[in-house]
Amino acid sequence: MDNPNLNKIREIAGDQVEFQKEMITIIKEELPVEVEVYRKNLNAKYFLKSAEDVHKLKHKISILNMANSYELAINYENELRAGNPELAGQFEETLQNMLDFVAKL
Amino acid sequence: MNCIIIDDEALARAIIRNHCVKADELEVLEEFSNAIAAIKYLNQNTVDLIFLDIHMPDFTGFDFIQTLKNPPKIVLTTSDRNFAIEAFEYDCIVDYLVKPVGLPRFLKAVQKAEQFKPITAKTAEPTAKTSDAEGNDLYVNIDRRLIKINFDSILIIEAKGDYILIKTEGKNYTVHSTLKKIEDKLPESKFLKIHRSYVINFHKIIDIEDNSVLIAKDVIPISRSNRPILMKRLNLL
Repeated sequence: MDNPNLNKIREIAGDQVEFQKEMITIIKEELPVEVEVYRKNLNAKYFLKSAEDVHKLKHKISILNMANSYELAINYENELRAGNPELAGQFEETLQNMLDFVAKL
Repeated sequence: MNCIIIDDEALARAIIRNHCVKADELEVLEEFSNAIAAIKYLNQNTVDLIFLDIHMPDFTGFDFIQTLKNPPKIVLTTSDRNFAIEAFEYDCIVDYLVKPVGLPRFLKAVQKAEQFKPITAKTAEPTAKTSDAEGNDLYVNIDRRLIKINFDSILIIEAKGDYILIKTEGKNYTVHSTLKKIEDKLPESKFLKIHRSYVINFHKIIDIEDNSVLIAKDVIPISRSNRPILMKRLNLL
């Protein structure tokens, strides 16, 4: 499993420290909400909605610079669209990893 | 150039907004977290460029484009690296950006937008249906009698296997026909197909909620593919 980091955020923000802070603030607000919506839909077995949620989460995964998890999300999204939630466990580890990292920022 | 940003994600909007500041002569007029609010804005304002997220709940970027009569230049944003070729079916689409969007790639898209001239004058309008409806009435064959039905009295028409059910303000008629056949006889200005099994009298809509319309006491589903055409017909405030 790859570890989240701020390299991509620094790359996008360049020397704009305030913008880096703004992005982190938004991620801290948005990520828990997006994860909660995803978990709710998955628990209700709404696989198509869950796939949309995973699609949306890909942006956060990518901005936290998690290349392997991004690939996992692509596969998982496709599997969910086909009605298969088999990768849910692995994806949950990714989400928890991200939430733990973001909580410490 | 001026622009608007449409994305349900605050992070994505913040990144585009920040990049816009870096692009010379690109002014952000408004930001929207959903497409419906943007449609209302565009009914009253003209913009040069739209940064548009493709994946949004309920109403996708492509649904949104289809509601625009004269779409401005559009740069799509997506989290999908293997982005679909569908984007290039629209002449108004200048470029697409994969999220998270870096500044150099963003500036390249803006430059493309500045130089962009649509290849044809074609818009996102769907092909116009040729209706042979004449006058104000329709005659239907029921039990060897031709019964006259005034267009304005029709509420909805529902497909029922080999039959169609015509619901009017006073009476219902079951006729051996198809939805396609009757659709061709109805005036386009009044009627609209909103689902594979339903044609509605557009002027009889009481309200629209999520993916359904209320006509008299009937709640009629709106299919995802027909929703953009319905939204385009609405005189939204």
